[in-house]
Amino acid sequence: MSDSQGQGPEHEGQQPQTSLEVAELVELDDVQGISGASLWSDAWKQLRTSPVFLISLGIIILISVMAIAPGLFTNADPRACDLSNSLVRPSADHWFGFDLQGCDYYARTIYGARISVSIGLTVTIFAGLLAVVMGSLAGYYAGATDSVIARLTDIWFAIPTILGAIVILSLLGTRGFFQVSFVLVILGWPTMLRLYRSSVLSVKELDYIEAARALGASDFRILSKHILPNAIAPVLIYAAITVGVIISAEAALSFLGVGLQLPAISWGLMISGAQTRILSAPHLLLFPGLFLSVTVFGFILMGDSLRDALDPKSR
Amino acid sequence: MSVTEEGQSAEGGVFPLDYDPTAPLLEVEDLHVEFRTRDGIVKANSGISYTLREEETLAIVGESGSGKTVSAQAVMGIIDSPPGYITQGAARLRGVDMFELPDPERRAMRGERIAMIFQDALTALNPVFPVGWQIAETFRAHRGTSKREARKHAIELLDRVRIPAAKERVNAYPHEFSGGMRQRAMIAMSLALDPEVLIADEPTTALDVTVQAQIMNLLQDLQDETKMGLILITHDLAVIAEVADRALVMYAGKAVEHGPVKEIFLNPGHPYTLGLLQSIARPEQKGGKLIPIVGSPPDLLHVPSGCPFHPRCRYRQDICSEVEPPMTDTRPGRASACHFAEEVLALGKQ
Repeated sequence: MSDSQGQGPEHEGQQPQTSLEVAELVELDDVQGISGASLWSDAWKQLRTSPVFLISLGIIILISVMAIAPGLFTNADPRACDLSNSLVRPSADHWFGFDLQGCDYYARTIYGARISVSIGLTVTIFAGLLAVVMGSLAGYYAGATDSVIARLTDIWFAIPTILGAIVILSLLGTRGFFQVSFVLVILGWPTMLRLYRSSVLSVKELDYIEAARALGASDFRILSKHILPNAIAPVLIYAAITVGVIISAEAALSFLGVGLQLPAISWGLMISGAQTRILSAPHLLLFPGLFLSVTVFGFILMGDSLRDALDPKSR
Repeated sequence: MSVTEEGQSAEGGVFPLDYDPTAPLLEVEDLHVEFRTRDGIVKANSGISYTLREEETLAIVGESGSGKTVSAQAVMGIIDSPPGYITQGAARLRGVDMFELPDPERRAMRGERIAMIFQDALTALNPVFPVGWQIAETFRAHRGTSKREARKHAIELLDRVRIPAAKERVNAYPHEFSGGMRQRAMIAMSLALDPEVLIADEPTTALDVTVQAQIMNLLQDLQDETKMGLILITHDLAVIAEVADRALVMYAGKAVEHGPVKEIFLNPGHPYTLGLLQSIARPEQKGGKLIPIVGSPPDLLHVPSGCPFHPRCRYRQDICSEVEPPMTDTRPGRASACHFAEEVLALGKQ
């Protein structure tokens, strides 16, 4: 069981920000604010003092600000290029140097965060929603519904993500944010669905679900209010890691030439452009690669610390 | 308390059912429940019948696995299906057969007219929400009560089940409650809508002895106030002797004896009941040996032929393994499923 926790007003408004749903559910509660400790406020208490969580949170916030307001980091226009600066090495004025087209590489790297982060988040959110809805149906209703969804997931699971994405994307003429996200959602949902389904399967056996049924709660109410908050933790943890994985998948697809297309600014495209000049202009590979790795690292670290906080067994 | 006005329901219009106020409160007739498993069909209940009147307490007694809980779940309509199926029988509440009702009506009935409390109140409360929220939720789900109003009711209810400082406790989470308080909260939740029938599935098993008594007293007091019918599922014979009016003894999914508790205890009419009573330690037997029932409860996949109890019965004859004894009246208001009920009754008199 979670440990006892001091009660009192100091916990007001400090609900975990880890998930929208949770924050909403907790807020639903109350006229007077809640004291005491739930799984979530317990987790939040642990997270606040966890250095791993704070580091990952710092990285994610930094990258997110970069994505939302790149102007804060650079005054240079990533699309204002001067060929005379082509492949100029990093200097004090231009920290990351210039690329082949003579564009400011620092500005391009900063602006590259936007598409990576938005693809990572969009894909994870949509795949997560799909997983929660389908996983609820499969886990709760068992029987034929479950068999159909679970088998479909198994079959889907057998499609290798990157290979599948290459095949589908190479068939598409234009490949922008929408197409790449769509393909990654299509290929990315099975794991989260399996995770949520198994979580629902274990939660639905618990007495309070039966108690809720005995008191006349509808299936929707049981699924949304009793099962969801108790079953979502593994999916949240995995989702944080997934954001990182999707970001690197997008970079991989762009590198392979089936992801985003120029003139989009993305880390994957930048790395792709660097591949023939790794020895002559290593900065072209170094900077986007570094940003990509740190971002992915941040999300994976976040997933890790969420797991430590939300999994009661790891206490 | 009584926030209820008869027939008023937010689930709107679901309620004008043909309740017959003169019909018995709850009448279960020939209930058959089976679980279709990979290994075969488990007959968890075969032909359970009983009647419950208002203000009455009926105890359903039996060993683990005798089908007590399944019979309650069937009546509540919360058997997991698959693998569980009600294959036969009726459960009439004021004359309305609940098994015949479409799902929405049936759901509206749960909590509203018939409610249930569970053995382990720790696991029967949702750990992520405050206790008060969960009680208030019952109002909101059934009646569409506003948040503030529902919360007020929740405090009243906590007060009514004698949780001290209900106003502060309403925001506490289940794990901040002791076992007894959790069971009280559970009782508050199930009584929220003033049900006419309350099924208590081993409500005191997970609690220590002093708290057990408090909970049983609370249930009795609430029953006196609300005139509800109470079905008490238990294997604790001491509890039954104290609070129940009538008892239904179950063995291997079948009813073996039925009648007023006092008479059954003084003079059991079935060898199984006799065995149960003899296996209780009593002060006057100090130094003597307890007489256990030999063997173990049957596997419901392979129920013995004839009388299901015959392999363990001290008084068995050849007929017992061949013919299943029907439930027959032995005394007014009493019935027993034993070929030699009269002989067993005579035994007890000595």
